[in-house]
Amino acid sequence: MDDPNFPLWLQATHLINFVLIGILLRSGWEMLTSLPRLWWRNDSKPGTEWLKFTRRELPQEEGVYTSLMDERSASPVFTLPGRKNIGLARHFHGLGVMLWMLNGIVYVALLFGTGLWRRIVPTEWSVFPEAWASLKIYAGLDTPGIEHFQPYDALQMLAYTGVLFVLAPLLIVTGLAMAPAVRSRFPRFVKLLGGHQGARSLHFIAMVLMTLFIVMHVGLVFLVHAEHNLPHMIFGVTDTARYAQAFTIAILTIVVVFASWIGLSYASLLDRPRTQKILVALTEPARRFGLGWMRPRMQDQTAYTEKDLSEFHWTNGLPPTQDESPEWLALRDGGWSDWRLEIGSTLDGSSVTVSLDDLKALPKTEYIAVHTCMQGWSATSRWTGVRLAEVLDLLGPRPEGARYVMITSHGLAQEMWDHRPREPFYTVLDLKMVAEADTILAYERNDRPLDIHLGAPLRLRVESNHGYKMVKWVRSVEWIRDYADYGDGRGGTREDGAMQAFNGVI
Amino acid sequence: MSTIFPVAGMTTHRDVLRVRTAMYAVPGVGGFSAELSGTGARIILKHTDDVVLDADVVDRALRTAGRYSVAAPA
Repeated sequence: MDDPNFPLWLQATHLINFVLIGILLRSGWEMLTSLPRLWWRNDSKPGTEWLKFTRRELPQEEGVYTSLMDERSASPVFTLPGRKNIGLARHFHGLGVMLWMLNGIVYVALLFGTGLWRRIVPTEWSVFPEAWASLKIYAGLDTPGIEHFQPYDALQMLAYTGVLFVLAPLLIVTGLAMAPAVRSRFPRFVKLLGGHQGARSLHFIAMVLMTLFIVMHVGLVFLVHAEHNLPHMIFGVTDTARYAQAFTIAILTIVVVFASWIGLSYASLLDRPRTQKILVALTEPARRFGLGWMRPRMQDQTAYTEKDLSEFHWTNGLPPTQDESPEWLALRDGGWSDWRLEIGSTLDGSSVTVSLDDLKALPKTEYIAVHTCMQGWSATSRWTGVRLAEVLDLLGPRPEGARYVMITSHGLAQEMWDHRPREPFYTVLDLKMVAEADTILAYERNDRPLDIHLGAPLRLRVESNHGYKMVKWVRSVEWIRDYADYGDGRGGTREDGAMQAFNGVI
Repeated sequence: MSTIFPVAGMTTHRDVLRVRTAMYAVPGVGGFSAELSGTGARIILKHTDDVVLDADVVDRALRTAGRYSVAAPA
């Protein structure tokens, strides 16, 4: 007979959750392999990790290696998509989160709407001694009698309530805290979680707890009164006679879901640009409408002060070399006296050049901000420079039809996605990013001229975005009509071959 | 600065991943790039000015990663 405690919506949301949690975990593991180290600090100094999943010892000196050298290659069997594809992993994670939260909202709404919340949310203090009694039985490798389950026992109630109302929200909150858009808008909130690295570590710990819960949850279904659990789960009935059928379907379902996860990894690697295009299209609404309204306010914030400045700053990409830009090397050797920034427009061909002193003569903008790489490392610095919008004004009004600004480096991309000869590293900003008060061309860090390895003599800062948007060793800024006309048409290069999203707010 | 080595046997994306992992184990290497083109494959290793990368060391690292080796310059 149908059991009202196990309606169809409960089965459906659980199955969807099972599929999505696999996508989230597997893409999360891919992201972790990109920087398999965790910190509690306000930076990511090698040797100070509280946990690491690599034996590689990194130099303590800044600027002698690129953070990509810490990236590990994981098999597509275990991660999504695998093989050093953090950009795609982040898109899968974002899509997974969107659907997982939607499924969670439906589940919680129905849970309260139908009154079934009473089955899992404890309302009496007696739940604690009862849970303790159950725990002792499990610890003795025994199982509580079926009468303990009405339909769940006290230990289950505490676990389910904890996962639903503490662990899942913690995962969401710490995940959001790692978004540059959130951090640059609500720096105090992120600092409360221990900063970027604190949020990342908490997110990892919550992931481990969630994984343990899932393993135990699924495992106990098969180990404790499976003849009741499986017919409940699969058919929504209390009928032990259907146990064999339910067992078979459950096992088949698990096999199919596992195969789908792995198949998704391999399928997405077949054509990475196509995968990127699909995933970015699916996730862009969340980026645009969920986070797009947040405007950075690092100039006004008081959460981060001089005391928070980091001891160590990683870098992704090393300074231009002879084979990349002899011009930049000559300018460096000349103390930047001959260096010039090219400001132009590809629409009308106009251009001007300005020196470093010209830029320094413009109104100065400075603030303390946290730089985050999408790999996971971070560092807090005081940045000083001039607003990009003011620099563009030197050229005159925005040319008719210009919708984007392209910033190009003297350096080359570390890697093109198809390994063709490297092209200049560049990024493209939309008008909204350009207009943000905290989008600057920085010439100083921590009150000193910009370090060579961090972009001297001039680099881009876009505090609402991840580091991959922030071009170092800037050569030119140009108005353009559409970023689709340049490079791979994705609005910039990046070390994973431009598989990141144009919009780097999360 | 950077040192460039032509590489034999590196023809696919997966080859590049293997070679990249091997190169990061070479002392002094701080950055890696790979280029595959019709004229052959090459790796560009970035390092500080005081580091001199020995072709034999790079070659040994390539061979541990698979059927790769430092090729004769074109």
